[in-house]
Amino acid sequence: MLHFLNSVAEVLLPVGYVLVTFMYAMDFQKCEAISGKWKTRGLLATVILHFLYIGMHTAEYGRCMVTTPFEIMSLIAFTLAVTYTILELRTGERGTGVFILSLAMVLELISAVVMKMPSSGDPNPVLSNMGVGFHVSFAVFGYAGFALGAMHGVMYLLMYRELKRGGFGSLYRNLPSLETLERMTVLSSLVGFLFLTVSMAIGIFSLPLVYDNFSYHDPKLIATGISWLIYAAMMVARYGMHMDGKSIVRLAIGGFAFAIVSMTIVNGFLSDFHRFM
Amino acid sequence: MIFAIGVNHHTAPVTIRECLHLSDDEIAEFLRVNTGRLFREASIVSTCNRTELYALPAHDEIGGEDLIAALRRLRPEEELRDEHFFRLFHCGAVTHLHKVAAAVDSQILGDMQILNQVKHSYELAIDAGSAGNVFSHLFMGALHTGKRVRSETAIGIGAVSISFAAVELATKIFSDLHRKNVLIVGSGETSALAARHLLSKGAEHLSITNRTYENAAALADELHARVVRFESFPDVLQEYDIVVSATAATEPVITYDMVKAAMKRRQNRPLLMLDLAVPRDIDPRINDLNSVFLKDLDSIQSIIDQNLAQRQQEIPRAEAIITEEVVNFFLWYNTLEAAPTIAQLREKFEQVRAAEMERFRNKLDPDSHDTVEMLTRRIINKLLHPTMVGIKKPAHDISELSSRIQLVRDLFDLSEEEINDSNTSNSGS
Repeated sequence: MLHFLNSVAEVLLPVGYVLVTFMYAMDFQKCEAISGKWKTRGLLATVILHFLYIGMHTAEYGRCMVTTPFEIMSLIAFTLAVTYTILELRTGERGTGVFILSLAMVLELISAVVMKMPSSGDPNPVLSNMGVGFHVSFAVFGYAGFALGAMHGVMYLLMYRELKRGGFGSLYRNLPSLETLERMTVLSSLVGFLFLTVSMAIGIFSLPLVYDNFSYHDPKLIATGISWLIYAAMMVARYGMHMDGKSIVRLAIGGFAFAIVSMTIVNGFLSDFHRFM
Repeated sequence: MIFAIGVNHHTAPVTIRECLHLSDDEIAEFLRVNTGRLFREASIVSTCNRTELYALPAHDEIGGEDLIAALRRLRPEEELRDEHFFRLFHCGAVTHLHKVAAAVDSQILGDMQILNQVKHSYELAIDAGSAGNVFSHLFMGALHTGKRVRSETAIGIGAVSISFAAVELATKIFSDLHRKNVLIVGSGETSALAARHLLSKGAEHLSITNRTYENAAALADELHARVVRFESFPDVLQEYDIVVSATAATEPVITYDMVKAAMKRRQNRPLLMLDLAVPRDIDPRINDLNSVFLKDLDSIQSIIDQNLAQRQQEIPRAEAIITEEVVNFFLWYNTLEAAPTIAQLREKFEQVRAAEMERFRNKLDPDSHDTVEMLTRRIINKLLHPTMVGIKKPAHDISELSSRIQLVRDLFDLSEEEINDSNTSNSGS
């Protein structure tokens, strides 16, 4: 029964994300006859379904959804959707929805397509270690923060371009001010950076205890370290050197792109001990 | 039948509209004098773009031309002619008022200021005693329509004047104008207007510079702003987040090198520059600089054009709401046809009851008589209630309502003469 419900949710979730993103895109273009008030309800329903899915998945496999990059992608998509839902309900700001939910949709689609993987092997027993559990959870929140920062950065650049060239179309009408977008980029990245820092600190202490073949030369550690350095540089540039907003958001987007690409490559091809399957 | 007559921006140029613009006192006086004589109920909406009289005539012989003549007597200017007046009747008049309240008929589409003006007109009519049952329903309905259109459509969204569009532009770059430093270059009318508008939108740190120091000082004094000497403003340009320039200079007042140096000093923090002068005050190459947003009058006009186009797209949705509310009004209005029949029916039942009570007067002691009196009234009320509700039930078709009324008249044998009597006694209620 649980397996059947999981299979249904695996189909419904990406469909939900696609529909909700479509409705937010319609709202962005002010085709309200199509989207109307249903978009927020649709988003809430999708977020609730995703929450239930995470619970069912955990119950079926007897472990948290953090063993493969594709499970982590689904978790990041969930974190993005929840964060945006809270933002929308608290501030009424809807202009950024289509961008953030687009990223959540892409992550969830990739995750759903490749999600068959968990059943192909036994989970690594290290996952039962409390320290490793916190390490992975904090890393997920960290990457979700980077993703949110990068999306606000993309919106900043789009708005910047719109203002520069004087297009004054739907981006101009719907997006918040450049200053707000810059602040959201920096804030999200900062939260992501802090989570990643904590995750790395926990990892440095707990991973050598659970892995016999632990190595500081592991590609995943190196890639994560570089991502951390990019965001550290961003924080120094923002708070120490007062770098301009455009350069800051470029760093945020670049940092996120590097983090995603490097994680995909090292998880797929390079990582040695640092795997959970 | 409800009439709407008047002049507005569709029918008359501004000079004519000015002629017929009425003060609150004039409106109140006009309504007081003519209520009961010329109309049973009336209200006047008088703004800079329209003076419109909505009226329910006192009797059938009074038409639109009589109402126009009455208005023209207030302003016997020669240039105000009959062809400047529009004339709308009943459904047209009601729909027009709803369109006015919804800002669909405004000169600046979606200018929601009109909603308050319609509300004010209604309040004037109440004070003058010219708003009765029908006009209360009519104006409350129109105000409801206006509120619905404002909240359910985007017809009032986006700036449609130069000064509003300039401020809107500023809010798309900066999240909070309170903490931003604004420099106004020039002290003419345009500069003063822009400065006042920015102040009204929360900008607090305002500086003014002008070639003639005294003019800058005078404006700064009025606006509680700082004065910056014209010769030294390039040296402090980096302090400002918004620069508005509107001088009469024939050569650029703010050069590329000036802004480039300032941007370096302000570490490329965003700078909004609004050039409201013709010929332009600010070197257009400045827009190429990183984080500088230079907008001239043409750019700001294009914001207005796009906002107006966006508002135009909302018209069908606004009109759908208007149609819905006008239908609601007439569903209620049509039930007024039944009022004389209801009064007559009640009267007939009361006569029967009173006659029977009279017959038993001597057979009942005073206490019992009062009790039976109360009892019979209650029985009649309860018996009549379903008929009253049925006859007043909203009808989409006036013929449906008429046949319903006719059926009741036939059933209870109500004569035409009595109806006419009731009509007379009910008019003006």
